[in-house]
Amino acid sequence: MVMAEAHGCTDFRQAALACLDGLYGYAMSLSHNQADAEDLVQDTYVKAVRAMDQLAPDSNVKSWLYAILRNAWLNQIRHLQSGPQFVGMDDEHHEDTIGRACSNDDPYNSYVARAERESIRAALEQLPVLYREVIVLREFEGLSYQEIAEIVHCPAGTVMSRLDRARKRLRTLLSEWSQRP
Amino acid sequence: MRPCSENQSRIIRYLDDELPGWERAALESHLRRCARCRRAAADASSFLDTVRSRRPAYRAPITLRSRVESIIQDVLPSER
Repeated sequence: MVMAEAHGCTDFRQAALACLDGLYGYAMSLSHNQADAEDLVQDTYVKAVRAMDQLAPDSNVKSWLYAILRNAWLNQIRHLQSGPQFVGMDDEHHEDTIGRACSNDDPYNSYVARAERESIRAALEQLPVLYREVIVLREFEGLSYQEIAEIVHCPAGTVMSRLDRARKRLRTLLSEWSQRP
Repeated sequence: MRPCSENQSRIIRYLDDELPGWERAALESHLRRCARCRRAAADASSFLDTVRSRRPAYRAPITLRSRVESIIQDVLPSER
């Protein structure tokens, strides 16, 4: 858990920068668009540094930043006066991120890992955003039920049941796809 | 194979490390005795491991990182 314990500038800076890749991944899972994701992350940090003084010394910086990002995304959606947009993933960027992650593997392992990552990413895209985000926050970012509850503004019990349904749907999708000829 | 009904959600919370100590000990004791629940736990654990190990490897683009560092730097001058 990333806490802003001493609340010094250096502590905050380190804690905030440590969350950057995770925030970007969360923003990508919400917006499905690299430019929007970058805007969301940048907006998140602008709001965070402005509100830093209001952060209690023992606050969890990580879940605080994720909550700011989620609110920024909801505002963006409201501003556009439309529901969540399931626009296509930026394939060029996606290839880049996955490629870098596998660059040290041998070609076959790299191919298999890439295919499996692609399956999971594609299956996630099929999930409603409420399910997708709990999967991202729990399985990819390792946040606790309580931390997720604070981010998505619902009780931990709701997170648990949402996560349960999300995992079942994800599993069904992956299983169906693995049986395709 | 389905686990004992009372342990269905408990197994998931156990794998998520969200079970309180006493409940955790009780479930572990049950898992030692019940092959059905043990199999269900192993199956769920394998699925979660697959998903977690295949997470999309997003990294913030360098340009974004630079912008974020500037935002923080502007408001929080270096202490060194």
